[in-house]
This record gives sequence, C-alpha cells and structure tokens, in this order.
Amino acid sequence: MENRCNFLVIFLKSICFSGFSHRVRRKGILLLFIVAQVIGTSTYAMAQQVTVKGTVKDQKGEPLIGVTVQIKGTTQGAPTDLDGNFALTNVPANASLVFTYIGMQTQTVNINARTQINVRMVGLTTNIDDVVVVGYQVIKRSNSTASISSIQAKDIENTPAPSFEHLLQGKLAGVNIQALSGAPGSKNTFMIRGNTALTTNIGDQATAGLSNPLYVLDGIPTTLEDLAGYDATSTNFLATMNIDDIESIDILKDASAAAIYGSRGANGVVIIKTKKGRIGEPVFTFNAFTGVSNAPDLIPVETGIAERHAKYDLINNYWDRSNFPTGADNTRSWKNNIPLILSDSLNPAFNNNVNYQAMFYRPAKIMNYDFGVSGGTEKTNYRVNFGYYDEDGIVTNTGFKRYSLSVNLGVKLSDRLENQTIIRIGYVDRKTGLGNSSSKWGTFPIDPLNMNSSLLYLSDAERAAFLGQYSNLRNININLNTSVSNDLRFRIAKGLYLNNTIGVGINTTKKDFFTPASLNSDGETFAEYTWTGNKSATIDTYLSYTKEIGKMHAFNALFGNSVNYNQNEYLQTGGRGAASDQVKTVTGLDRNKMWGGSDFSENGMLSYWGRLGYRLKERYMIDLNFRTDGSSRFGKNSRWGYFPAISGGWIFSEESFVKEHLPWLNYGKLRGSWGINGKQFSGDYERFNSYTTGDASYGGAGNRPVTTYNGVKVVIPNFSKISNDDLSWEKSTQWSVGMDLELLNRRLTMTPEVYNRETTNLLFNVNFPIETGYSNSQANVAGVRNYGYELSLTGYLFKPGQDFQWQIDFNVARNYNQVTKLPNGNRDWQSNNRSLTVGLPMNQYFMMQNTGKVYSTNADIPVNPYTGKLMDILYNGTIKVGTYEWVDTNGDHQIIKDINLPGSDARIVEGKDPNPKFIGGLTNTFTYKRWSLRVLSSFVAGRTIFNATLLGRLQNLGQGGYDNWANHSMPVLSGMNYWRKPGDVAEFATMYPGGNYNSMAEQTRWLEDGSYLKINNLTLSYNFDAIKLKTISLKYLRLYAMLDNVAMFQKFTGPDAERVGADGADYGGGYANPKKVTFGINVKF
Amino acid sequence: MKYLKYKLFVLILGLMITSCSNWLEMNPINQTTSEGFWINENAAEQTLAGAYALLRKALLNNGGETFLTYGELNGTTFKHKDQTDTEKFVDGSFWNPNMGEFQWANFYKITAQCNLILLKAAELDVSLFKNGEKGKQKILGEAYFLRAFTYFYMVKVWGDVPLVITSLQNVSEVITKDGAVLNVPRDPEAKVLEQCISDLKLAESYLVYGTEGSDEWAVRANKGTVEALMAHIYLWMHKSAEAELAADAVITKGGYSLVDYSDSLAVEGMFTGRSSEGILELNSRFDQSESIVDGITNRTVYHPWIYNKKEEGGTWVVQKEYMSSLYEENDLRLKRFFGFWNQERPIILKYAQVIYENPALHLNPHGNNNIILLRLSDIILLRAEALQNLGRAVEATTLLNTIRNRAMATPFAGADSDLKLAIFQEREMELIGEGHNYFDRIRSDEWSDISWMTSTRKGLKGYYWPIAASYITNNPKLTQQSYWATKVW
Repeated sequence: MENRCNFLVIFLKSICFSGFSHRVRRKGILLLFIVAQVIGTSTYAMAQQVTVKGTVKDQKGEPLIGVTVQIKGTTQGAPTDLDGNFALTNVPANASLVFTYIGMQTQTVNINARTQINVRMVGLTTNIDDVVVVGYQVIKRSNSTASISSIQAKDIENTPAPSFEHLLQGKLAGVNIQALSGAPGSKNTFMIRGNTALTTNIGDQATAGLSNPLYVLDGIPTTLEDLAGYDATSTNFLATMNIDDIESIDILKDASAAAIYGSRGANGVVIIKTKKGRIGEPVFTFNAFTGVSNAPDLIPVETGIAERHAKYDLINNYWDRSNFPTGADNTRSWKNNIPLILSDSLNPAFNNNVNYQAMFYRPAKIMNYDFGVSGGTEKTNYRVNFGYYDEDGIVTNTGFKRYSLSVNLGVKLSDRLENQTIIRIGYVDRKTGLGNSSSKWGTFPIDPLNMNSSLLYLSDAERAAFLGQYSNLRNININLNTSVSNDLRFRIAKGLYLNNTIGVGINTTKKDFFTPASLNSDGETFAEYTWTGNKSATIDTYLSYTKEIGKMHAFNALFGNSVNYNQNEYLQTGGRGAASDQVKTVTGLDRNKMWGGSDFSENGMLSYWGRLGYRLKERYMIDLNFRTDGSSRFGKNSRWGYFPAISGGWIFSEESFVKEHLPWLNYGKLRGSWGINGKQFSGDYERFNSYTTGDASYGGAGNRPVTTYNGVKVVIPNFSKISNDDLSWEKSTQWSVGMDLELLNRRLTMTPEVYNRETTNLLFNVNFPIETGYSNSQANVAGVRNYGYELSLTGYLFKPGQDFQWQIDFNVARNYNQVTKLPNGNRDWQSNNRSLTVGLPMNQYFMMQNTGKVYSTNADIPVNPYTGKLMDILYNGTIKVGTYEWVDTNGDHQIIKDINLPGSDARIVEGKDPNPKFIGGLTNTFTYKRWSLRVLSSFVAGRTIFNATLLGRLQNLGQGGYDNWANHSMPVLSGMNYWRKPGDVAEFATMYPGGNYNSMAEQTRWLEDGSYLKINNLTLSYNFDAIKLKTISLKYLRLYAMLDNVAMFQKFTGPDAERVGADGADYGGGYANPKKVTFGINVKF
Repeated sequence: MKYLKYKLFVLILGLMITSCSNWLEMNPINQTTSEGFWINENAAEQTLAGAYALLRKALLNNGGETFLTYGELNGTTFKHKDQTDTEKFVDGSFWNPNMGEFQWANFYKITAQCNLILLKAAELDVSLFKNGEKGKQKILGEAYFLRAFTYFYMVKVWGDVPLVITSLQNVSEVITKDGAVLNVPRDPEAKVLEQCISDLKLAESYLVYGTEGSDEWAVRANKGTVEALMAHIYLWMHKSAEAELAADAVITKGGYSLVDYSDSLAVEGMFTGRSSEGILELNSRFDQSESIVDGITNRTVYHPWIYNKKEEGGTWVVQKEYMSSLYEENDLRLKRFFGFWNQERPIILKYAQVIYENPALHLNPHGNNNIILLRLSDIILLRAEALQNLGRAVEATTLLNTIRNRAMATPFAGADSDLKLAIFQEREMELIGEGHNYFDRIRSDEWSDISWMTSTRKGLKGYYWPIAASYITNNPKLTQQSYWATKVW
C-alpha cells in the first residue's frame, strides 16, 4: 500500500526531520560564500560593440539611483549609478530600452541608433501599471480579472508594532483588522468580507469566533487552522516575520483569485512576498526607530476616604429600612454589623489613595533596528537583512522581542534556469506577565474589573508577583520560526516554463513557567514546560505557458500539482512540590506530583490546479481557474473537493465609443467573477471514532485520576466526537462584480465592487440526542451568507509636479451577514446570551429586554392578576422596587430569564448584533517638497456592543458576601443616576450591596452603539536631497516621527470600542492599546 | 548531450508530481480509534471495564452520592442537613428544572458503551478469546446485563425513557446531510422493561455462577447477578411468580451466603466489599487506586471515623424519628450500621472504612468501601415480597425471619395482613443507605409516611423524577413527565 508513495513520503519527511538541519547549515555556508563573492565582483565584463549612455532623472530633475535599464526582450541590462547614469554596451542599434523603477511608471524608449538617451521618469499616480501577485503568478494589474487589494512595502514600513497588519487597519476595503489586545505580539483579527466562523462557543480566546484568511508567505501556504491547537505561547504567528522584509502584500478577496488555493481560500488569501536584491552595486540599508508607549487611562475607582464614605453611604441608604416599604432584605442587616475594614477609620488603606492599578502600568520603550545589504548582477541577486525589534508592554513584565534574519538569493544558472532561495528565521521572546497568555484577561495578575480595593490582603510575595517583578517567577515564551523556500524556474521553450517551489516551515513554540511556593494556594512550587513543533512542507510543481498571436490574442495557461504535509508535535511536563524555590524546572519531584504527555498529529494534502486565460486585444479577458484538493483530514466519502472559478474583464475605456464620449475617463475596467472555495478545519483526526483510554474517573473520587475498574484499564468512546465519513470542508460560493476606474487625468481612481458569498457546509458542533450517549459532534451542517459592497477611492487634489500634494485614500465597505442554515431543522442556537438564528446576523443578542426604566415605586410594579401578588421573578420571589424594568415578552405575568424554561422572557434583540456593518478608512497624505505628513484613520459603524466593562464593575460592587463586598474596589457612582429611594426616576437600578439582578449580564441594559472613528497613525517625515547626501556618501536619508493610536472618537461609554470580540463584548479589563510615539531614520549607502 | 542534464532535471521535477491517494490515509498514533482497536480479547475486556466504570460514574456522580439521591433521599430514611437544594428533594418539591440530577446523560453513556460492546465484541472471532466461545459469551453476557441494569435503573427514576439498543458509529446515523437531527421520543416503561428481560435472558444463558473469592466476585456480573436483577425487574413489573423463581435461583444456586452480624469485623468486611453476600458492587477499593476520596464516605461520616472532620452542612444524617420507630432496641444492626445512634443526628457507617494515605498523620483519607447495589439479604427479602404477593405467607415469613434472626430481632409473628408492611420495613432497616427505599416505595406503592405524595400526584406518576428542561428544549420529541409538565416551577 505504501510503496507507491514512498518516494514522496520519504522526501517530504526527510525535509521535515533530521535531514533538515544539515541542509540548512550547508546551504547557509554556501549562501554566505556566494554573497561574499557577489559583493566582490559586481559586474561581468562584456564584449563591446555599440554603447548607449544616459541619465535617468525624476520629475524634479533629480537623478534616480538604481533604475533598472534593460534591453527589451533580453535579460541584458544595468542599473543607474549614484548620479543616475547608466551605460550599456553591446546594444543592437534598433533595440528598445526599458526603464523600471519602483514607484515610477515603466518607460520604453526606442534607441533609433542614438548613443545618448536621457530619461525623465514619472511617478505613479495610478496603480494600474503595478503588478499583482495572484496564485503562482505575477501579472499586470490591468490584466487581472480578480478582486485584489495590494499593499506595498512603503505603506507598512516602520510600523511600531510587531506585525504588519497593524498598519493595514482601515487601508483595505472590506478587510476588518482590529487589535483586540494591546499586548505586544498578541493576535489581531484579519477578516476579509465578513465573518464566517459560526461557533457554538465563543469562549475565552479573544480571537475565537472570527474567520481567518490563508497566508501564503513566499509561496508557503499557512493557515491558523494548520497551526491551531499546538501553540504554547499564543503569540501572533505573523509577528515572527520582520516587516522590513516584506516587499508586497496582495489580498485576494474574491473566489476567482482564491480558487487556485482551493480548500483553504474561502476566507480570502493574503500573499506576502519578501524583498529581493536588485541589479546594482551593494546597497546597505539601515533603519532604526525608537519611541515610547504610554500607560492607558485607569479604570475609575473610588479611593481612600471617598471609598469608605461611598460604601457607608450605600449601607446607610439601603439598610435604612424606612426607605423600603416592602422587599428589603431584612434577614441580614449589615447596618448593625459594619465590616471591620470599613469601621476602622484609622486603617490607612481606607484613608489614603490606594488605587494601585497604576502599579501595573508603565511607560514603555520601543526599539527597532534593521540592517541589511542587497544588490545583484545579471546573474545573481542577493539580500541579507537582520532585524531586531524590542517593544516593552505598558503592563509590567510584558513585552516582545524579535530577532530576525532573512537571506534571499537568486542565481541565474543558465539562460534557461533560474533559482531563488529564501531563508527566514524569526526568534520571538515574549513576556506575558503573570497569567495565561491566551486568555483575554490573562496578562493581569488581578482582573482589573474585579479587584480588591487595596493590596492590603496580599502577602509581600503575592504583591511582588502581581507586579511581575518577583525574582523567582519564571514565564518565558519563545517562538522560533524558520522557513526556507526554493523556487526553480526552467524554460523549456519560448513561453513555456517548468516551475518548482519547495517550501519548508518549522515553527516551534515554548513556554517555560514557574511559580514559587509562596504564590500557590497549596503552598507548593509549580513548574510546567510546554513545547510545540509544527513542521510543514509544500512542493508545487507546475508548467506555465504564455503565447501571443499577433496583437490580437494572448493565451496564458498554468497547470500544476501540489503536495502538502503538516506535522504537529507537543510535549509537556509539569509538576509541583519542589524542595526549594530555587528549582524552577521539573526536576526531582514526587512522581505522583508530576504530569506530562506528548502528542503527534499529521495531515497531508494532494492537489491539482490550473488556470487558463485568454486576452483579446488586451481588452477582453477571461480566466478559468480550478483546483482539486484531497486531504487526509476528511471523511472517506468526501476526500476530494473541486473548486472551480471563472472570471472575466472588459477594459471598456479602450472602446472607441467610450474614448469619444467620455474623454475624462482614462481607464475603465469592468470585471466579474464566480467561484467556489473551501475552508478546512483544524483537527487532523476529526473523522475518526476515537476512544479514550484510562478515564475511569467518577464524582466521588475527587480530583484523583482513576484509570481502572477492578484493576482493568478502561476504554470508552470519546463522547463528544464520532466518526464522520462525510466530514468535509466548508464551502463558499462567491460572486463578485467590480470596476476599476481612473478619471480626470488619472487623478481620481476608484474601485466600486459588490459581492455575495454563500458559505455552506460550515462545521458546527451539533448537539446530539443524549440517548446516543454522545453529547455533541462536529458536522458540516450550517451556513452563513456575507454580501455587500465596497468602494475604494484615491484622489490627488493637486496637479502632479506641484510642490504641495494632497493624496486622499478612502475606502468603505458594507457587509451584510446572515445565518442561512442551522442543524436540526434550522433551530435557533442560543448560548451566552447570543443567538444564531436563520435570517439574522451571527451572534445576535438574545437576552432580557429592558424598557430603559427602573421601578421607581412599589406602585409601578405590575401585579399578576392571577395571584394578585406583585409580578414574579422566577426563583427569586417578586420584583423589588429599584430594579430594572423588564419586558414580560410573553405576557404570562412572570419574568423568567432561564432560556430553557417554557415562558422564558429572553428574546432576540432585534436589529442589534455585534457584527460591524460599515468598516473603512481614510488616509490623507500631504507632501510639500521633501516633507510628508500622513494621517491614517479607520472607522467602524453600525455595530452594537456589550459593555462588559461597566457590567463587570457593577458586578464587582454587587459581589455577594459581606466582607468580600467591603474589600472590593468601588466604581465611581457619583456621575451615575441610580435608584436610591422610592420615587427616584433613575437610569441605573439600585446599588444594593447584597447583589441582585442589577448586575445580571443577560439584559439589554448593557448594549451600546459600537461605532467609532479612530486616528490610527500620524507620520511626519523628511526626505533628504539625494545630491547633497552624495557628499556624505549616502544614497538616501529619511527622518520621521510617528504617533500611533492617536485618538479615538466613540459613543461607547466603555474604555475602547475597538477591543471587542466576535460576541460583541468589550475587553475593557484587558490589555489596553497603547499610544505610541516613535522617531526613526532610514538610511541607504 | 548538452541538454541531457536538463532532461534529467525535468524528469526529477516530474517525479515530484504524485498521484498516489494513499498519501491521504494518515492514521493517528495519538489515540485509539474504532478502526484499529478491536483486534483482541483485551479490547473487549477494557471496554467492558469501561462500562462498569461508567456505571460507577453515573451512580457516584456529583459529590459521589447519586445512587442515594435517587434511591433514598425522597424516602423516609435519610435527610440532607441544611442544604436548600437537596432539602427540596427530601420534601418532594424539587428545585429548579435544570438540576444535574434531572439529566440522564451519564446513564446513556453506559448503554452506549454496552451497545458498542455488543456490536464490536460480537464481531471478534472466537479464536481470539482465551476461553473460546465461553470467553466471548462472558463478555457479551455482562454487556447485556449492564444494559439491562442501566435501563431498569432509569425506569426506576424516570419511568418512560427512550430505548436505544444500537451502537452509533457514524454521524450520519443521527444527523442527516441537510442537518436534521434524528431525535427519539420516550418509550413506554413496559417496552423498556421487556427489552431488559430479553437482554437478561441472553445474559443468563451466556454466564455462569461465580465463585466466592475470585477476582471478579461481586464486582462483575455473573449468572447469579443476572437472576437477582431479573427478580427485581419482574417484581417491578408485578410478575411475582417469575420474580420468585429468579430470586429462588439466586438464593439456592448463586453460591451466596449471609454474613454473620454478630461478628462486627464481618459486617465491616461486607461493606468493604466482596463478601459472601455481595451480588453486585461498584468496585472502589483503595488497593486498586479506585477508592472514594470526596464521595459518599465524606458525605456520611466524620470524626472519629474521619480524623478531625466536623459535621457540616453537606453531611447526610439518618431520619432518626422515623427509623428509631422501626428498630428493636437490641437489634444488632443498630450497633453495626450506625454511629451516634443515641444522639440527635445518627449517621450510617456503611461507608466508613477509612484508610489514610498517611496513616501516621491521618492525612488524605480514602473511603475503602465498595458500593453495594445488590446483595443476598436484598434478594431474600425480595423473594419474601414476591411470595407474599403470591399468597404464600408462610414461606414469606420464614424468609423474613431469616433476616430478622440474623440481626437478633424478634421473629415476625404478626397477621398475614401485616406481612407486606413488615417486609417493606425490614428492607428499610436492612438496606438503609444502600439506595433502595424510594424505589421500594414506588414498587410496593407504600407512601403512608410520605406526606407530599398526594393521590393526584401519584395518579400522574409524580413519583418519577423530572426530566431536565434543557433536554426537552434540545429534543422536541421528548415530553416532560405529566406531573412536572403542569407544575409551575
């Protein structure tokens, strides 16, 4: 059975396993050697015939360095030197020269026997002549029929954040990027054209319930699903990559572009290419920036004597029973039994300001250095870049450090064979404070929403540990990502190429955690060491063919095969009770106080794909894409999936009637696409019926593991997973229609677009009939639709060539999200006060409906006509005065909040859901001569969010238990209109310290408008004059200052309307997004 | 020649294109799956052990006392001190409809496990078993027994329950491609019991009687266990003649004998487990690392039986007022079964065999008690009850007095008309703390001491436990018990 595959398996596995380290080492030495050689001999001697010389300047007449000058149709060429001069020998007299330079329009000049040619290059006012990266190909944007948003290096460089997506926020139409946590290196959302991640449990993970795209890094596809489940550090995978290495990012949004990625492209594809060396003498680049992040605003609390008075006030008010005609809690009157902590007026903790929140925070430094060299000859190109990024978190003992190295080496082995090798290594050391780094609150030693009012009750050791400075604490999180990709291109015949790409990625994470005995409730040391390893290998082999017949017809064909292998490993060991705090590893412990385990899983994929394109007169274009994927993850009845797509384009501005009648239209393309994509899930063995061994635990056995019955090791099924022969990918069918327009001498470009994406076969955790013994299992039974429109605009307010320029980039996208199918006859799924309901957006709020009023007097409380008593609140007697008014939605004269009960009054909150309706951004770039100011902003509109911060604070106040209440920190109530006595018309219910429904989560009281406008970033820079720089041997010098996270305009009364997860609850108690100020320099020499 | 190397190169690249589909067959090495597991007798043994473990889990759930919550808390023998939630069980009003006790998920895990064994072990070749056909039949017989035991237990708690006797192997058997979930309704009690009987008949033919002292004595089912359960089920079905026969078989052929109550060590030994009287026990022995840590032992005893432990809110105490009216003063069982009998709150000592992990310091106590589900005196009294039902009062009295004599209690010499109640009360005295009382009441319709069991309630079978509201939300075919459906919580 296996021998047919042996070659491949051995090859792939040998890459993944032991052979790899040798290869890397050898290849590394070889690379260094070649780089050294190349730098030494930068040009090749050529036989002389005819020589063409010239100068290349920009619009302002300044020489351009490093412009590629090439003889058309050949690979012969040379770059311009420091004065913008070039010289080409051996040029046929009738040839044409092609001048290319990044950021400038490419020019072609016929020599016509001249020997001196001077060229003035014009800056791009349009991106139509750009190239875009589509799957396995680079094409001219004007030739593309797909919906692709692109970002160039200059747009994201010098980002004061560990990962590039930070600066993409608001820049790409239809791409929703949100920083859910300000912790350096944490994960951000990256959602393209709406959410499809329908989940039964949004859970504690901040990024849960949000869909993710496929990332293709230098040809290596990676999804978070591939990496999921095996991650000890929760560090953002993208943060292991140095932003300075990125050349371009292309985001494939529609089905036609993503179809070539088949079963993984349904939520869009992000293709990232890294920088290569260009022809020319070595250029050294040095970038540096440094800055500070500022501590956030603290959560307002009452402190000192004010707190004591406020608490006394509540006690006096609510236990003065004359205020309560009925309904007061008379069994436990605290008034006569004031907690000692309050009555002890000499207690300094209650007299002085002991708001210790600030102790968690600090102003923090950011540093970044990149140093590299790049260059090339006609035969080789090279780039080596080293990066160091160091950001301290604003929360004590958090931070992020990255060391990165990338080596990119291209060799032209012959006129037929080219090879490009890219090696990237990223090492990330992340500090995550005290807690579990994956939890949205986890960084803090004390939940900021639910804290004690002073540190009085903490031991010295706890206090020290809370500040993260406890010398015995150990919390080390390391990510080491290595990737190697090798791209080989062989020209078989004119226009026909055989390509081979091998990509290997090794990603490891490690968490080394230790807390000393004094910090743990059991009085024993705790040590745990977790390591995970992910190895992946992808081999793509494909033929590409292009053929032009005259000026009329152009054909383009691509056919390939792809083999992908992924492997995940996990190792953990832990233990407690070391003899001394000095021992911080799992060493010398009692055997029954140790735990540990290892895990291994793998998956393989086999794919065939292709693309056929035809262009008529470079005006009418059609592309067919298809891919078929087979994956080891899927059930035997649905092992293979087929993903076709078709797209077409029409450059109508080329038509004579358009040219005649619409002279202001410089360029216009109409394009449309339809296709099917898929998305895989993360588990490798979901299709199997797995059994659990050794789980004989029972309630009475306490926490001790019992593994046997009568001494026999037990085996039982995994009752939350059953084999599924039909288990398959989630399937998205999408159409998209858009236009690319350039108007008014190309000073205005716009791209309007509409789309509709039906996602079906969504994996959903279906509740099983309990009688089967199984509680639940995954099945492809749900569906979601996302449809909407997008508009991107770029405008230049001033004519090109003027000293002052103002560029406006604006985009907006409206997405409609709708659940289309649910299991069990489309029955609603309700959990955590959210509802999945067919026809409505995902995670619609589902809760008790407040009228907005508070029962002012007893007379306001409705009476149950059947009993003649005040209306009931189930299990809690009758409604009390001073509580929120709830709608008795079913008119049964009692209020029932338990959603499982007949007569429950919880309802869908119509028109209110946590999904953003409008997202977009506005970037203004002002340039004056050499100065430039860029202001980046983004916005979200039409989103209802849940004020979990306010709720948390009030819950804290209502926290049951008498001493608890006295000890807990107190929200500032002074600005709040809350009910104190009968007759009060209040906005908030009673603050009765015993705890009641006032701080119950499942009510609409906490819903607020989540719209916001954020000024993300402001950059002021100055570009020095290249000619003047020459005198100090520099080629390029730029200085800049940057403000990040500048300002936030929101209606939301909580701290931050951006840090809101898929369920709409805000993370006000989590890690605030810090404001940063950085100063930087970019140098080339 | 110049191009040969390129041709070779293209050939090598071509080799990387693979078309083998076996590449996609990746089997896990980190878990046991149904595809590779069922290859030997061991698989059958381990899954069977799993079924017993699941039974132990279901009956010792929560704090480890579910068997008492269901079987005795609503009766007259026990009460739970000062705990609002469970007081609501004692007074029959229950609490809210989502109590864990209203959920039967743990029981259906046992039946699912039995169904799995009956499907997969049945497919194993006889040659794989050490004892051949006998060995295979033993596995299947025990699985049939456990399935019947579980369904019967559920019937005792909920009455009509859904009957599922096929093993689920693939999602598609429950969820159709368009996402419809194939739910099942409750089946009538009678149908479920018929299935139990037919399972037990198979089990009876597959199993042999046990041998006292063997590894499996009392903690695994044998032919005697099967017949004991049959006796229980038949009597529940009011088939006294069949019940009597089955009980008689247990008594005469099962190899069981009564423990001597005059020997205190023997009584303690009986509750430690595997005594000559034990018919079915849930194994939870310290030496096998299966003992009770925070379960029934902790619930029922305190200092001096558990060193320095205080009586607390969670402690279950005997309803002394009622129980003391039954026992005679010199009944041996007062000494053997109870602690602090002369005080206001007596406790039972049936789960008081405490072993400390650290005996010198009395640290980490474990309850080294098997949980007795069936034992000989239970079956003797059951047979007495069947005989009484059949009008054979003399034989019934003899059996009743066997039990009374052992406890040094005065033999019953009352009128035949009092016999029924006497047997019932004897069961209360003999089996207190073993989870029988409430079920005995339902079976023999004896509610005279239960004030909350009104005739209306009884008519609506309000003695059965409610079904969790969330189950009914999830499965529209499920109906609430008629008594609880009309009740406003």
